[in-house]
Amino acid sequence: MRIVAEHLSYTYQPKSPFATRALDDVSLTIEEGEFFGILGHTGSGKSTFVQHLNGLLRLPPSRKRGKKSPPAPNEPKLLVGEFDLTQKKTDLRALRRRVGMVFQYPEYQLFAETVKEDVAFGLKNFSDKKLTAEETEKAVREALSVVGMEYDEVAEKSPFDLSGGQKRRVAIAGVVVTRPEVLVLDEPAAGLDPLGKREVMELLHRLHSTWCKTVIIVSHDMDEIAENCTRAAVFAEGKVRFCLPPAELFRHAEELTELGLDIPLTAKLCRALERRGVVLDCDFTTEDFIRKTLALMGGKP
Amino acid sequence: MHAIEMKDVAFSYGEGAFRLNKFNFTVEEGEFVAVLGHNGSGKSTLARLMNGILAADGGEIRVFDTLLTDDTLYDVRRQVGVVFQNPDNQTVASIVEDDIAFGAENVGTPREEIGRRIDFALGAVGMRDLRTAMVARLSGGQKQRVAIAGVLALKPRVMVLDESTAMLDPRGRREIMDVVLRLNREEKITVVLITHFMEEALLADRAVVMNRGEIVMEGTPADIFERHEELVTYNLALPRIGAICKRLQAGGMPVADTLDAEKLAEEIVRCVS
Repeated sequence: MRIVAEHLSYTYQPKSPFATRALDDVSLTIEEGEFFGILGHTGSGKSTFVQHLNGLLRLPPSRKRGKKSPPAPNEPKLLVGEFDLTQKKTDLRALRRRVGMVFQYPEYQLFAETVKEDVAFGLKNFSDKKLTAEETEKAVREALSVVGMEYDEVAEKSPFDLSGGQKRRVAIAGVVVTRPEVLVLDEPAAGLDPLGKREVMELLHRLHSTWCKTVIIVSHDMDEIAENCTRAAVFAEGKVRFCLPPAELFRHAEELTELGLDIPLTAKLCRALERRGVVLDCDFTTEDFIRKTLALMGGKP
Repeated sequence: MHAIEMKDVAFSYGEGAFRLNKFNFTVEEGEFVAVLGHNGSGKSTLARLMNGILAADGGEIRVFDTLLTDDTLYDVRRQVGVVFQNPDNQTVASIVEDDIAFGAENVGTPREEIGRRIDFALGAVGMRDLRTAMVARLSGGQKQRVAIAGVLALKPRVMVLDESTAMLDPRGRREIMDVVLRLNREEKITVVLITHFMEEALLADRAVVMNRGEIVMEGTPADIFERHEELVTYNLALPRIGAICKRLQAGGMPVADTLDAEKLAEEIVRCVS
């Protein structure tokens, strides 16, 4: 599912003294198959943007125009695969089945008495027909297995008896159980320890190569973006300031710093080396940085 | 003087989880100690024992020589303030100054004194301009600073931060660390920082690593990171830059260990020229 947004704007609490413009004429295309990063500060509009992708936030109703008159040049447009979210009548249930959304700290949204009920909840909500117990169990089993958990071990446990990292994986299982083609995650690794972080990122790559064609992560962690993403969009004050592969994005260190954003450690090191007259043409992944740095030694022992 | 002294402390959540057994830990007055550990290592339990949110099953906990008992519980809590992880769970009032005053009012601080303490606390966290702002409209970092200010208004001598930056973005995290460092250096408040961000632990005077309810490593942050193979066995990782140093060394480039980007660049240049 290709995602095409054009001229998207959104204002919270419009026509009130608290009106805040969260999105301001945003145009962005995310291709099918990408591992896409969304960056930006608190209040930059990135969450507002992703909440449009499964219809949690809707485009403001477009002004009525006659059937014959041509669309205005700046008419907002939002296509998620074959779903046209500019239309008022969109099958939101079908859309949400295919665009999974994992919020920040999804483990806080666990609620059921057992892990298997919790994971099955989304499935029951979003499926068209009534599922048999066997079908449900099969889907839950597969969803738990794809997030790296053993069904027989955890299915009957209370989700609240699990560790933090496990809870998060169960919460993710509860979203991917409908086999969404697009998976959107807001800060999927936040608040986890280094091991938990690594596990979650590995899990996302596993999902990306199996169930979910497109993975979109919102992140504050520049290293995470540099290591994992095909492209990343930088939001600032409701606009998209950059949309580039990490290898190009993090060459704009000054602009990013001006926006109050960090750059990955590898980019910092490259800049420090450059100031000392050593130019390293690196894509800012740790692997590439190490390879290129070691290559500097040439034939030296 | 010891700010906090835990002697032979025992604690258990019951079956399955780790337990503390004959646990000893001391924090000196004015010290800045970082407590590291993976999720479920017992580091937050430690924080909750220090001011009696959890009661120990055995052993002694002393705060500035006062033994923590049911009778001294409230005195101890005035000395040891805790800031938790989730900014949204720690605010009670809708206006910043009311929220900061809440704790001080609860312990019966005179009205004029409360005004002075709000001034002090807002200044200490750098939020004088937001005195009458609405808490709900603040950023996460600002809310956490309000939580810190609320603790400061009780004039504690020890501040415990239990993963207080985990839910913040990098800017919010820096705001909190700046405030904490300043409180430690200028106001001489003893700080116990519980975290799994290695970069934050670097700022401390001393770091301890917890695993399954035990202290397994202790030393200056640099010492701890020096022993990286050991850290990995406790499910912790080196700061990214430390890991890069090790990788370069393994690849045959003799860079010195450092946790500073500029320094590492210098080292690389030295090795290749």
